Amino acid sequence: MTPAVVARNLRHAYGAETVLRDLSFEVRKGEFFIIIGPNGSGKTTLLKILAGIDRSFRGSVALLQRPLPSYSRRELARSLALVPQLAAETFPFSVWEVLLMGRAPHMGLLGLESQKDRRIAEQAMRFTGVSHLSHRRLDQLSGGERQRVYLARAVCQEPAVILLDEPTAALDLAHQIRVMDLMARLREEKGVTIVMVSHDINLAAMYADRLMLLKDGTRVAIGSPREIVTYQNIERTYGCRVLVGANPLGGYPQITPVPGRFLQAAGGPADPDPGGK
Amino acid sequence: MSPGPQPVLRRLLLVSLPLLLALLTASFLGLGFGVTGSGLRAIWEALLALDSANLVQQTIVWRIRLPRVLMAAEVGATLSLGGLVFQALLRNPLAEPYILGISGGSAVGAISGILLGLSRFPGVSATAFAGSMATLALVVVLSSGRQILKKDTLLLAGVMVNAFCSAMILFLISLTQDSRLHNIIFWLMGDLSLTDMGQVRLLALLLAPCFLLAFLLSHAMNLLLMGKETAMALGVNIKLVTMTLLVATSFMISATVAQCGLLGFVGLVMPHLLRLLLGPDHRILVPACILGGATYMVGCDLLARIVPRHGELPVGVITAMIGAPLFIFLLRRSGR
Repeated sequence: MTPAVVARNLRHAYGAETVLRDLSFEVRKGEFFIIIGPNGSGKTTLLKILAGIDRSFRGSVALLQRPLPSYSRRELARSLALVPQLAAETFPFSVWEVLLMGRAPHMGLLGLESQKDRRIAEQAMRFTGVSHLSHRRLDQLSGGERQRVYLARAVCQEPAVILLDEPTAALDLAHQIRVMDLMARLREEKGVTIVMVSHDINLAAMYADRLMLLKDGTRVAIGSPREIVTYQNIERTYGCRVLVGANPLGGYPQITPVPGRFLQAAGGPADPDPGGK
Repeated sequence: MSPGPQPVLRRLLLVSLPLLLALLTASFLGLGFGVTGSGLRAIWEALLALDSANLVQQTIVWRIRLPRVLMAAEVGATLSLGGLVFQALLRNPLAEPYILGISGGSAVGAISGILLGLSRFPGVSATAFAGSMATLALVVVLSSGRQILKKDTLLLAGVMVNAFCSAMILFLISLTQDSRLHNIIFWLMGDLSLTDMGQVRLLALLLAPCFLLAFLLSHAMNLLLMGKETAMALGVNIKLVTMTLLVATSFMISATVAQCGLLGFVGLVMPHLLRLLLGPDHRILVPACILGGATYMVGCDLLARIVPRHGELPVGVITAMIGAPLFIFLLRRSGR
């Protein structure tokens, strides 16, 4: 299968602080690919590089067999959509207006929409189940509703790849599942490649084809959820004790972090690797 | 099935026509009233060049009031559009050329030009532009290391630069002893009284491309409001758009400051009022601010001419006296 994204020897530093070190990986076309790792492991930076927002990296990234720097901004926006972390700040645009913004890379400078743009926006609204919100203002929506509107906007872009930065953070359970289901359906029905950064390992394990585990800007492991979500991998990366069991739905690994008081009762050290880093 | 919003162009028309009508009405009244009151009928006569209109009236209307009304419209449109653009770029409803010190910087430049005995154009305009660009650069540098448009630091830097500019202005004034002093002070309060058609035409020539640029980038401003990263991911070259808009706005602000001095609050009040009425779409707001700002300034200038029993007020006094309370009211309405 052809790769959608190929990253080779990615390095990135903010001043003296190195964020990514020699990171290489591939994302296959039509794959649901989730990047997990502790805070500060370089996940968000990686996503910004893939989105073409941060261009001060070394190494190479290819999107759909073409080097990323060879894309103009508009070209890139037609192949790749980004759903950034949900910001608290909003402006009173209507849901319709926000969706049509997703058509910006396909429209002229003034963003005057055609019938086709409207049709695509309507389809995207139905697909994400926000049609009933179309005339509401963004600042009147709940966080979960807004996140679905942003997903709909990304769908409007008609991209080959969608990047999402912790799309389920700060959402309630129902909205978390909705967002993940939507992405799964998008992959299923339209063949879109999904690259997601997530903190929720259990959720990620249920949806991802493959997981990549990052720590300190390097790849700890990459592979199927079963291969990646092992207690050795997680404890080594996150530095806390976890239990890994089977998800009651079957087939998926599920982790349970272990509270300190259980460890003291068992007489073991809280830190799984007291000697190392 | 939701029909969606009306197409942008139709909304634009629906908004622009009433505003245009308001502007024409205000301009008509502006031509009709003044220190030497002549009443509406005389205006018709002068406008239509009827025989019964005497020469003095014709001269007053065409030579004195018309350029003044046009100048007021140009200045009001510029200040209000400038406020809108800055508020979009900084994603901050309090941003305005006046508050960010851009106007103050142009004023320092302009006064230096006046003191050096330069002509209003190109001399004073050029020094005003230099002053505004210098303050813009200073504000941007002060407020950032990496991120150009961080909100609060930029405003804070603007306030400081503005304070510094005020001190510079007072310093320059205190150095001045001769008759230029009165000129400078009246100009500082915002002055439209010394206008001729030549200046009006020249300013229109300078402003038109800036207005056009702002309209062409209005959709990009919408996208910028959704956040820097989102805008980039939607294909906006935000560095280019931001720099173009900052420079064009500073240029048109300094061009008007060089002509008419400091006129506060227009850039705050009009964009706020229109956003409250029309929503956040800049493709609508840019033309609306141009027309609305023009109307507001023509109206203020009219008041400045007819309120005092003798002589007239500097129009800057009127814009601030109406604008400041109105702005506070709008702030409370929008709940921010």
